[in-house]
Amino acid sequence: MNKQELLDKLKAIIEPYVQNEDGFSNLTDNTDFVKDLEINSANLVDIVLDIEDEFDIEIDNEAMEKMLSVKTSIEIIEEKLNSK
Amino acid sequence: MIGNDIVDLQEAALQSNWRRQGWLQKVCTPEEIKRIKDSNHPDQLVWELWSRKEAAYKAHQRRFPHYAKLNPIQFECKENMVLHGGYSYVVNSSQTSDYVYSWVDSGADHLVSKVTLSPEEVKQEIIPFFAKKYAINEALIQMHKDRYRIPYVTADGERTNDVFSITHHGRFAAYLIYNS
Repeated sequence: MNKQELLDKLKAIIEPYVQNEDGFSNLTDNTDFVKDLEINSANLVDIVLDIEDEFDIEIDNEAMEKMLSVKTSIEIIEEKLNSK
Repeated sequence: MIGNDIVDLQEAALQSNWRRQGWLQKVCTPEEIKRIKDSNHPDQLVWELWSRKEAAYKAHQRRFPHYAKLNPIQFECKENMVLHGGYSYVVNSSQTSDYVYSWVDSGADHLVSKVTLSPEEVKQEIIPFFAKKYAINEALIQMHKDRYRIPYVTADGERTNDVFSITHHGRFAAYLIYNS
């Protein structure tokens, strides 16, 4: 899976929780889930669970700490996929 | 150190399904999960625990400023306290059928707002409070968030040392000001 495919999947996962459409249409690597997309903090947990399901990976608590932006989410997904 | 968090229970029920496979395991300790399973009011308890962890997280972040982290499970709710990283925070909670509200009791004098109806109303109370404190015109008080997303005010362009916490969810918002 290349990075673009990964990003497309991530965007599809995030989309239902987004409360700032402008932030979503202007999504970049630096997009922050809370600050830019106004995702409710309880839904951040849902995003982690959705990512685990979609990519068939396990995100431990230490990795979960960082799952707050597009950039770090992609890094963690790649890391977990590579160690499978 | 202070922090607060409010959960609109109606909004939470629409936005989240805490019964979802794996959700509790990422948020709560085994002991907290047991309490939820044994409770007659699990929905209320889940959001009470969540808001207590959030309130303590905000207080801890003011003490040790850091970029945001998603680590609810590292905040352990025990009796009237929330424990994290070797520190313990006394957290109060109040609830109705509409919301759960938690705030850290720093032991010092702090101003606890009523649970107002909108973030605008929060601003309309905070700004006059600081305008009065600094004896300047309300137009010269501005609210900001720093890079750690911790709120602060500037009085006539200069950041003050005031410590306060704001929370908003759904129909409710509240603030907490450390009265120094």
